[in-house]
Amino acid sequence: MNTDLQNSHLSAGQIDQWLVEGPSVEAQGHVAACRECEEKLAEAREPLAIFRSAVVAWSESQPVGKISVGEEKRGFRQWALVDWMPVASVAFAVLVLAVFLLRGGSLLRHDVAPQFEAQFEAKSPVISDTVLMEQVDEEVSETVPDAMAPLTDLVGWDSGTAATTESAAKHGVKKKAAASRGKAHGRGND
Amino acid sequence: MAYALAKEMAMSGDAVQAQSALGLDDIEGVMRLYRGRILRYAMFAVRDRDAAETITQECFLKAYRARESFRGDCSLSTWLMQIAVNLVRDYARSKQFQFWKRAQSATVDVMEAAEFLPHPGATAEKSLLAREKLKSVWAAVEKLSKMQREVFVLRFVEEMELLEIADVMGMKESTVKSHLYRALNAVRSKVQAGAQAGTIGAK
Repeated sequence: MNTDLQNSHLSAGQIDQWLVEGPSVEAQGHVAACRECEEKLAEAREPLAIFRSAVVAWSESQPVGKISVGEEKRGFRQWALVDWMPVASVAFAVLVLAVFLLRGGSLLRHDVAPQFEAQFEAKSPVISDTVLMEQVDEEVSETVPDAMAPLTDLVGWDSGTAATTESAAKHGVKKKAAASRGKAHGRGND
Repeated sequence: MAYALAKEMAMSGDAVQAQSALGLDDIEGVMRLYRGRILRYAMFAVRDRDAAETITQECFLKAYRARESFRGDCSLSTWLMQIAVNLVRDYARSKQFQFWKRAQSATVDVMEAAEFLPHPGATAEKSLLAREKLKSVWAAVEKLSKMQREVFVLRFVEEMELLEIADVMGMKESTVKSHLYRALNAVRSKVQAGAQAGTIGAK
């Protein structure tokens, strides 16, 4: 590079290198001695300097807003920077879940009740039969006339107790017959 | 008083001393010192004035809240710029940025920026030439890729060193150089084309 610069001028690439990376010692020495390269360099720098000064002047002219560091609340602009997609997704998921739970709950109530009813109905014939039998027993025992009272024992008839029940019945009939004969005899004496 | 001293130090490039003179507790003072720098970078990174202002505001807010974690390993301006770069990346990932990128609106107009061109004692002709050059550079910068544009602004507007840019952007120095050479080549081509068009127009 040294020999190149001694014999020629700075190339466009070398000027770019100066601007991007800063000047090398050789290039700096050459520009100090070469008026043409100095002008080329100044020409390359000028648009950048104009750009810089305009942008800096513009930015410095912008009014400085007050920064509210005390409050953690976000302003509208801060909220505008938030990526709303995850927030919206979570909100939607919560909404769907809430709807599902509400509808699911009511569905559950509607769905489960018939199941219980069916189960109850499945058990109820046994229960209702028992109740019915008890009612029949009560009614039968209440409606049997006195004269037929011994027959009520037959409701609870079984083979083991049949003989005693039968003899007791006969004994009862004999006692009643004797009593009626006694009454008739008493009337005849009167 | 502290602000004036810090500003003087910041202007002379001694950002670390400026920081120690000011302190991060005085976030408003820090903001007055570095707001322009962050705003410029954010403006060219997202190309949306409102978003750039929001990012700038958020940058100082974050810096204030994380002030305990700043140990002075780098300068305050570099640290702030790192926060801004991260905010810009977060913003660029957001759906909002994708929308505005398509809409291409709310960016700073070159004519507006041209109003701020300092031309003390310049002739009308020189002022006009300066405006034309600004337009050319601006148009070229607008067409650069996002990464090239960011690196270009950090180097030629903020005048940051290559290593500092690499540190802030989280990339290798060689990558920074590569982006800069391409950006500079594009800008030079545009300026030359603009100059030739101006010469032809003048004839």
